[in-house]
Amino acid sequence: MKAIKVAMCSLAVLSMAAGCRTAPGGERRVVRGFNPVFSPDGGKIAFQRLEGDVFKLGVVGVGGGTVEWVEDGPGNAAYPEWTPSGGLVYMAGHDTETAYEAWRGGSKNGYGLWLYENGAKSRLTTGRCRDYTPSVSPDGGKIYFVTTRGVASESAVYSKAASTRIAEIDLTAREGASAAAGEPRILMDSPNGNNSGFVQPAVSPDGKTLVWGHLENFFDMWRIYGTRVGRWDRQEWCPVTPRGLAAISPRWHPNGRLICFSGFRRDDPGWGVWVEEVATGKVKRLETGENPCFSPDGKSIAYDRDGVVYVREFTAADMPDEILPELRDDDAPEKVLWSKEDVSKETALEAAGPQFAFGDDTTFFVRVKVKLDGTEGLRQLLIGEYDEHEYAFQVFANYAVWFSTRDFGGRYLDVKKDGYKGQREYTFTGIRTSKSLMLSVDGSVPAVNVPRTKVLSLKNLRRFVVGRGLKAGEKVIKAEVGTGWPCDVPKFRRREDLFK
Amino acid sequence: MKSMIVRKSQLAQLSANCKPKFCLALTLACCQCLGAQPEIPDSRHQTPNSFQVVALVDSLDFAKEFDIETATGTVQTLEHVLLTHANDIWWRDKGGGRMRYPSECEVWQFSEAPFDKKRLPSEDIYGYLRLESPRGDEFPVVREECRRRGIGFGIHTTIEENHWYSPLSSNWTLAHPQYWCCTRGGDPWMGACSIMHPEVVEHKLKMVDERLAMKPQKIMLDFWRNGAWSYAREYSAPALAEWRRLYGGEPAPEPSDPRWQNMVGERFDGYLRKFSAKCRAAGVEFVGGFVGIDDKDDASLRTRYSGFGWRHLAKEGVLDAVYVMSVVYDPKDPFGSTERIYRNVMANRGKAEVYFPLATYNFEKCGIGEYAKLAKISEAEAATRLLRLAKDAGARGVVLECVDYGNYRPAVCDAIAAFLKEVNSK
Repeated sequence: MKAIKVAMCSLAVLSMAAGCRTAPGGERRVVRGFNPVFSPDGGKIAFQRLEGDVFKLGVVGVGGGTVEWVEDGPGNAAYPEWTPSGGLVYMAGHDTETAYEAWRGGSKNGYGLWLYENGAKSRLTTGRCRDYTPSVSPDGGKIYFVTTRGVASESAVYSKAASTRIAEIDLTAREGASAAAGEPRILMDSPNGNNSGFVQPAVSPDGKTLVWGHLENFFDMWRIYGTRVGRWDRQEWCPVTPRGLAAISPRWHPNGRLICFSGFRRDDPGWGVWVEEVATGKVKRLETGENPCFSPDGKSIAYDRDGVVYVREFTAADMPDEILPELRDDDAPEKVLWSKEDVSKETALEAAGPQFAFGDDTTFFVRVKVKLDGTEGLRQLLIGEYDEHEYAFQVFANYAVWFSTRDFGGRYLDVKKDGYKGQREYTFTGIRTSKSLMLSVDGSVPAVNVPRTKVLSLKNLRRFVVGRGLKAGEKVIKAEVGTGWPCDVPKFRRREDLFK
Repeated sequence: MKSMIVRKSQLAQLSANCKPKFCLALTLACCQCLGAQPEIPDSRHQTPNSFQVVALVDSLDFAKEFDIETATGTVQTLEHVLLTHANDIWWRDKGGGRMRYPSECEVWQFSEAPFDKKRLPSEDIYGYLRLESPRGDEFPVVREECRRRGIGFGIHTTIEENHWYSPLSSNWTLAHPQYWCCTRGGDPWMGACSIMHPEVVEHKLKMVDERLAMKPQKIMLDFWRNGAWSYAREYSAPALAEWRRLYGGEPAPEPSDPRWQNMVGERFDGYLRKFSAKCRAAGVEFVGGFVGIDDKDDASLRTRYSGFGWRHLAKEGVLDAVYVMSVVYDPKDPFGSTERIYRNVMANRGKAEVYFPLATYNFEKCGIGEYAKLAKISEAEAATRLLRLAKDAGARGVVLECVDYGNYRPAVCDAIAAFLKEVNSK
């Protein structure tokens, strides 16, 4: 026995020396399927399987064996989640109509949430929409999920509504065990249009934090975001996983300090099972696979790969230990490069120099303090004219206030802020980062537009134009251009703030 | 003609109130029965020397007009398209990376949201279509209907793996991040896979096989609908390795560097050669569709349009035909400059046949309406002049890009009919 132990240790040392990384706990095949989730007692795994044309949903022991099918009818079922009492919440639907029939007939048939409890099924949500990827609060009272409810149904490609939203239903408000859960409440929406959206919210073991997969923009990658439960406004959200790492499908470790997720970093062999310590941002890739889930005791992790569910141990050796470089384009404090005061009529000001070369990865801001008397007509308060574009950026006001710039092809991009009425002094601050345009009025949380395309790289400034269109009695009190994050605009929350 | 009407009405009657899958099977059964009888082609029936008027059809554009998941709706769509007097149909096989037939390569069951979490759903009627499922597959119906009517049947496919829109992402791309495109800064992008990976080429060629199995007469590969792909997104690991092999320690250059474009372009050309060879082996014509054609050479085209050169592909015989999707004409002399560009194209086409545009889409400022506005003539007159320019230049035909519900006005359709009658009856 001793000889065997010595041989095993030697093998491990040799493997480490050769740079090999064997799975600390090994992995064990459980069942054909994907999206595995451990039951509250850790003895079973709920999962889904593609069988022919349909997605079925079942439960199997962690050691494999006979599958108990919860949904194996003609419709589809997916995304199981356990309740604390051992019930299952999942998405299911059986859409028998064609899209045209449903559209013409005003169908209410979509994919809703169901509850399977004590051998009985009840439908929790209804409607011509998709409610999916549920997460049940620790007390079992609430279900957070992703929904397409209320998303505009016209002009899909050009819609400004996000594709999905995060909603909740209150199970405690149900009238009887088989009743529907009432109208879901939309908690979070994205301002970034239909190429942005949410998927798979996961509420923390203490019920206080929600994380989810987030797509800000089609040219971006999925990333995990988080917020405190109840703080649903945009400025409260923050990225939890680092930029440069595609991350989706988060789930919590029972200790509330770790999450696991599907991740991909450049040069990885494929989607991987990743773990992150949320407070520090340390990460680790454990296996090739997707849709990981910790066991209730935190000692095992289940995931799927190529349509098969596996389970392996989760040990101290799997603890995250790497901090990926976090590319932040808004960290630097503001640095004012140019300013001009007291302009009451259109004034062109020659300016040039390499300091005004704002590459597409540079954060710059434009701040204009003005006194305006009304909202009629157009006032172009500050224009940056570059060789690359005559209106490379500008802050202008009419019935609203706008900050605009150009994409790499010279096409117009803007962000707008309502609520401006004229007749007093205002400070408008536009910010352009590598991926977004923002606009703040009087130091408010900025409105954000994450455009679909790359922003224009600005190289050669010709001049600034201040105060075009000002009416009598109006003036630009101060106009400034600078780099970094402007000191008058509140920053978005950071992971460190969320998990401190 | 009368017998054809009866057949249509029989089909319509039989199909009415049927569920889609049954309806499709029923239609095919009807078509097979009817196929045993002599076809009664209509006046647009093609002969080898016919001047072709090709309709590009994206059935999605008819989703609110007809029930395009049923055979009945597909036939209705086709019949509406044929009001333009087109005598050849190139039917779209995918939107972005979402297929319009049950593809094994793209595992169709995951195409419908929300069964792949990485795909955002689309909530309008388009997001609920299941054209990639066996019940929604349009191609057997379209092919058979075209055959019965003596109309050419081709496939319009695209190089894109998305359509600037997450719901239309390719399943295969989403599932294989290791092949994703990458920016020069090192950011992977899930919108497309890099052509520099041999596995990506292999996957694309398998999809060519799927298209050939539909037995089209032509496959048109559309280089314009590129889903934001460009040379700027090809900084994948094998691309960087290839660059190092060619240029040693020199850092990877800007995407505008002709050496970079040629390196990536060569890999793409390799794929296109294999695509072409497969088509040739199956007796199918391979057509390439390009936008923004002017008098410049391939290199400048690659730079300006993040696209592909067509001249060397035509000259080499990779392409059997070139479809000029738009031209960069001089607004001061729209028809004269168009004619010069057409003749230039014809002089550089090698052995490839050529199609010129007769578009109502005006994305490239090249629609019939734009010509009419600039020349201060009616759209019907503009259409006739464009048809004549194409014919006189020696083109095989024109392409209607795209035929949507009612977007080719009756007067334009009449002009097309009159022109075809004139040139094809000679």
